Order: sequence, then structure tokens, then C-alpha cells
Amino acid sequence: MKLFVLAHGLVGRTDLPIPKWLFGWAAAVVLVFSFAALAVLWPKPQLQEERGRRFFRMPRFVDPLLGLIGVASFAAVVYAGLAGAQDAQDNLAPTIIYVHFWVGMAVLSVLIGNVFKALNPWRAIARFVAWIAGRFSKEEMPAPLEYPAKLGRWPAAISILIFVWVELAYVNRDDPSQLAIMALAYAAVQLIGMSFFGIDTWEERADGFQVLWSTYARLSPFRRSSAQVIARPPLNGAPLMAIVPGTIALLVVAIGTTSFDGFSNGPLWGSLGPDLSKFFGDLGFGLTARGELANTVGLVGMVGLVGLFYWLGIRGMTGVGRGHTTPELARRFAHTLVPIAFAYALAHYFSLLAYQGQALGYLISDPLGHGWNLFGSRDAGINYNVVTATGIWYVQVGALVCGHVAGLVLAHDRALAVYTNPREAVRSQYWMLIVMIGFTSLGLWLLSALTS
Amino acid sequence: MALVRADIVIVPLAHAGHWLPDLLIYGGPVVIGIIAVRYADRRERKKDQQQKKD
Repeated sequence: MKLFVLAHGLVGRTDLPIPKWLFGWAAAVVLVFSFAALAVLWPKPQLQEERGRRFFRMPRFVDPLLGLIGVASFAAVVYAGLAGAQDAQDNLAPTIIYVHFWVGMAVLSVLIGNVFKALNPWRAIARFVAWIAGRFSKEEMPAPLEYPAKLGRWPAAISILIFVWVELAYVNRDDPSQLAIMALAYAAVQLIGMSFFGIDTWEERADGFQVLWSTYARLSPFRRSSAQVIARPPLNGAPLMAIVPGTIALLVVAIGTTSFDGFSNGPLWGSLGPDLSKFFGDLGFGLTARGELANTVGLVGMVGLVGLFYWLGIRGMTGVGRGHTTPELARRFAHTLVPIAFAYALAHYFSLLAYQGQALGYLISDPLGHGWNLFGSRDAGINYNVVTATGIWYVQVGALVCGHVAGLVLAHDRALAVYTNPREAVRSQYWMLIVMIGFTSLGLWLLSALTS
Repeated sequence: MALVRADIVIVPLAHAGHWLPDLLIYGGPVVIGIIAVRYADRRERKKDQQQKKD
């Protein structure tokens, strides 16, 4: 059965041995025990320096091959969006963009490292053009402009916010041709940016998807060092992340937008949303605009709330020790948000990936929705028994708890490096514990509201 | 949450019975945590001050 479902939460009956709200309290207890165990068993920083050993050497042909696959996939999605049936269910573009690209790439990044860097189509095109230009130009290529330090990762944070706005607030979110045009526009901006500021600098700072997934890849047990693949302890990459302006914003946007996705499908937004929409209607906005504006306010409001909660937690830490300001500690502990952002994404989108991800089976045979059967799998359906509703709930709870325990581990390890006195380090983490419990409870509440 | 308009205040509490209990139940650990941390923090500070005096 073909069914396109952009409602991301699980819809189904769960048979749980204990009530869902009890999971929230149990998760809080797990975090408190983890905190106590860290205080006793983790007396010295373990993750502040780069560790790892060579795992294997990546063959030379892999990078160009992956780049080629990335460019071909991008071209196929754009072509399908523009030339295919303008129906989200039958067209390849919406499913690839919202499921395999947006969710699948995040999961892959944590499992096997920064794989999007090799697959990134606009990076591959820019590198190919640079290679051609270098080969045929008689003069030396001009040096790129200096990237403004103040911009930091702000362009990446803003581009992720815009993408999620399209996904959650824009009324034509699953219109294949509009998605294809937006993908082309995004690629054009990236190519222009890379031509001005250099490929690597732009990709490390301003390309929203590359920046977000390379941030998630810092949790991965693998990293690349030129041609070598290095195996390292999981989480080791996160404390080494350079916290430039916009980094906290990027992570807060990642958590806040996922939260709003859950929140907007729950009963509270079902109560607030129509009133907010009516408010914009009373101001004179049309039917479409008032819904988009209400969702925009909700989206930005949720991002603001997440940011405020993090800020308050950090502010609580300033009471411990001397000479630490809120902005300084916010930067030093920003990497603790990385596992939380990924845990939120995994918990929230797991059912989408498990179910809608299977749509690739039939879409690949008929990418334009014209009735083709290229690989003989046009009639493949979605198997909703691949994982049960109860199984999904356990994955969601597990992801949230593990993500927040990982956040606690990173915060504890950083505190041991920031505070010279171990007692102060533990004390400073009381507030981080509250932040973690708060984010866990919020995540479980959003998911329980969806599934009840 | 209240939306303030020119002449009227809307309090969108429709279906509050569905979400308010959940909000309180899931917010419980956070509230208890904040109280516990504030208590522990105050105790530690007093201990620090006492040590300084000694």
C-alpha cells in the first residue's frame, strides 16, 4: 500500500507494561544515577584531547565516486521534482529530501562519520570546477576572501531554520517542483559562497546541512584524517569542536525545530494554534498566510524557549567558582547539546525513517510517478510490521535517555577541565543535570502526546 | 499563555483536560530537580562560607 505520511509521529496502539508518564520519571532517575556515578567514577577529564588509532586507508577512488553519486542523486531529485507528477506520494523528490536526506543522513553521520562531506553534491561540483580551473588556467588562482569571523556558523543556523520552516510551516511543503527549485537555489548559494570564501571554509561554517551533519558526526566512533579512517572513542569529537559564533544557535535551532515538529502535532498546539491563526486572520491575513504565520510564531517561539532553558541552566552554573561568565560557560558547554540534538531527531523521526524510508523501494522504479517500472519494484509497498508501535516507543525512550546521558558525560568531562577543584566541577553540574532532565521530560512529553 | 489583543484577552484553554495533566506529570521531575539543586547549592555555599571562617 502506498501512503505518503508527512505526520512525523507514530500513529498506532502501544501495549506498554507501565504507563508512559512513568517513563519520564524513570528517565529522570536514570540521569540522576548517571550523574552520581560520573561524580564518583570519572575523576579526570578523558575526552578533551583527540584520541584514536588508524582503522584503514580509504582507497583513492572512493571520494570521487561518492561525489559522483551525490551529484547524480541531486540531479535525479531535482529532475523528478520538476518533470515528474506533482504529487508527493508518487514523486521521488519529497520523500528523498524529507526522509532519506534530512533524517537518514543524520543517522548515517553518527553511525559512520562525516559521510555527507564525500557525498555533498555542491562540494563535489565546486571541487571539480576548481580542479578544471587549476588544470587549464595559466595563471595562479586568486586566493579566496577571508570569511568574516563574526559570521561564524550563523549562515548554517539560519539555513537550517529556513529548511525546517519550509517543512513545518510552508503550505506547499511537499510540492515537488517547489522543492526542486528551492534545492537548486540552495545549491547556487553554496556554489557562490564557496567561490568567494573557499570550499572548505564555506562548508565548515555556512552550508547548513554540511555543518549540522558534521557536528553530529563528532559523536561517531570514526573520523577521517586525509585518506585515513581513524577509530576513536564515541563522543571524543564533540569536545574538540571549535565554538565560533552561531554554534549554539545552530544546536538550539536543531533541538527547538524538532521539538516544534512534535509540539505542533500534539493537543496543546491543537488548542493554541487555531486561536493564533484566528488572531492573524483578524489582522487581515488570508487563509494560507495566517496558518503559516501561526506556525512561524510557534517554531521561533519553541527555538527561543529551548535557547532560554539552556541559558538559564548555564546561568545557574556561574554561581560556582570564580571568574566564569554566562557567555563563556555557554560556549564551553555548547558541545553538550550535540547528543541532545541528535537524540531528539532520532526519537522524533525514527518512525518516519522506518516506515516512509521504505518508499524508496517503489519510488526508485518510478521516480517521476509516470507509471515506469525501471527495477521491477514499482508495486513494492510499505511494511508497517517492520517495527511495532511499542518497539518504536522503546527506541524513542532509549534514544532520549542515551542522548542525555551522553550530554551529561560531555558536560562532566568539560567541567573537570574548566574547574580546578573537582568538588566545584561536580557542583557546577547540578544545573546541567536539570537542563538534561528538562530536555528529556520535554522530549518524552512531546512524543507521548503524539502517540496517545 | 494569553494572547493580548486590542480589547479582549483570549486564554486558549480548550481541551486543557487533555494536556494539562501531562504537562504537570512530565514537568514534575524538572520542578523537583530545581528545588533539590537550589537546596543543595545553598547548603554547599554555607559550607564554603563556614570553611572560610574557620
